[in-house]
Amino acid sequence: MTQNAWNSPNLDANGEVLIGSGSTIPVATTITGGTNCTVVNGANTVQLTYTGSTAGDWVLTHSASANNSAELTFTGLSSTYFVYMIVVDNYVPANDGDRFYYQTSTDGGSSYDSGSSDYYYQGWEADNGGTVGALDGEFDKSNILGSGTYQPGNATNESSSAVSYFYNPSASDYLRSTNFNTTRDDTGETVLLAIHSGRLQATAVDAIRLFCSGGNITTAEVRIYGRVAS
Amino acid sequence: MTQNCWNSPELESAGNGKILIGSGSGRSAAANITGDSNVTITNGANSIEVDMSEAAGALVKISTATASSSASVAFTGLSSTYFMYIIKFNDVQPATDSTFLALRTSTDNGSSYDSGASDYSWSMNYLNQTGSENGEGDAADSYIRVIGDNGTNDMGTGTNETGSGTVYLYNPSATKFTFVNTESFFFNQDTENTAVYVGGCRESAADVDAIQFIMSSGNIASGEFVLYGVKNT
Repeated sequence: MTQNAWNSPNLDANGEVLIGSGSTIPVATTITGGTNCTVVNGANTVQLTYTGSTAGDWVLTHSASANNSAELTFTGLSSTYFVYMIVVDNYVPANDGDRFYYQTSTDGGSSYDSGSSDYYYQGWEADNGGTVGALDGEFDKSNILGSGTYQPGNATNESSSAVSYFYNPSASDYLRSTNFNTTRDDTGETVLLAIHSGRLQATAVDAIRLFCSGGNITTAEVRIYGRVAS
Repeated sequence: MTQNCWNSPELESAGNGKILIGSGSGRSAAANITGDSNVTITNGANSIEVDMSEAAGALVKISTATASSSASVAFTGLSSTYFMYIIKFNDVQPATDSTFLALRTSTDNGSSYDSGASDYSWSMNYLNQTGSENGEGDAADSYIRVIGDNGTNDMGTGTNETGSGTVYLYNPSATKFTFVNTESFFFNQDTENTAVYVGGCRESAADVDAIQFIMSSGNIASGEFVLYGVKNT
């Protein structure tokens, strides 16, 4: 944690903490706080900056919203975090039935691996009619699957939500991930996807992108959280 | 973040921009500033503490509920502060043999829970230690099933026949259909290890602000439920 002004605060002799300088300092008027706490006194401020998350903490690292977007990219993945949790809500494709996928990068997002055998997956699905099925060989392996054979819809109230874990992407090892997804598909069914997948290259991954199998992403809210490594 | 004294700091009335620590007219200078997850400024017996325990991480433990012959377990006050809620439950056991665990949601902070016959839809995949894989689902139900197939893979009351798992509740404050995912493991009523995964939906474009766990029949005999929030910003 960095304590900016607090490392050498301006203290009055009777135990008062001063903000600003000079002989006639106006009253502090605003106190706001998120991850930082800022006390504002006109042009003068005292700020507490909190940068000291400890091992095991989950930290919000990325936030993005799709608005008719071709893709959402997330760069700067690093060994600071042992695992990343990606939460996707309200994914709606511009074209009815377009799935969402992930691809990874090893050059900071300048390019994303898209070879037909770059990735692997194994999983299963279920629909609200009780039908279940394994996923194995239905797709080429040029993506990490965010959706399965059931296709996300774009009619009213049709969307997808998902939580994915990407384990230790900075390791020079195959990237491994798990993904749980609930989708209101293009037929109006509520479907489940549970899948394990990853990148078949022992190279550190430092960026990922979320994109659509066809056109744009009409909407999606994405948050990525990193779990601080030791 | 909780800003203890800082929500209503004591300011000197003369308008000279001083924040007061302690009380009385003869205060001595604040002597110590210490801090790790919290920052404490000490002035003799008086102090100001800025509690940063939540700022340290995005995953916040909100509350714990322990079932003890309980008709239901509920968490209220869900809000847009959190983008997703995670509920971990452990060692849950029903009071009635061969029943299943389910959840419902509320839009009035728990005064009532939606239980209409077509309020929810859900899909389920379960894998039993015998090697069988099966599905269940319902396009119109009065709950989202969490554990149990209403058949040969339901929860039991025998020794060790308990269930543990995780519920992901996505952005419940958004005015849209609310989605959940669950992943659970339990020993069924025949003490067989079973994994179960669920995708569920509250079929109403409404702001969900509470969630409830119930058994299909009878009480929840025991079990611990912990609610976590994953910060939105």
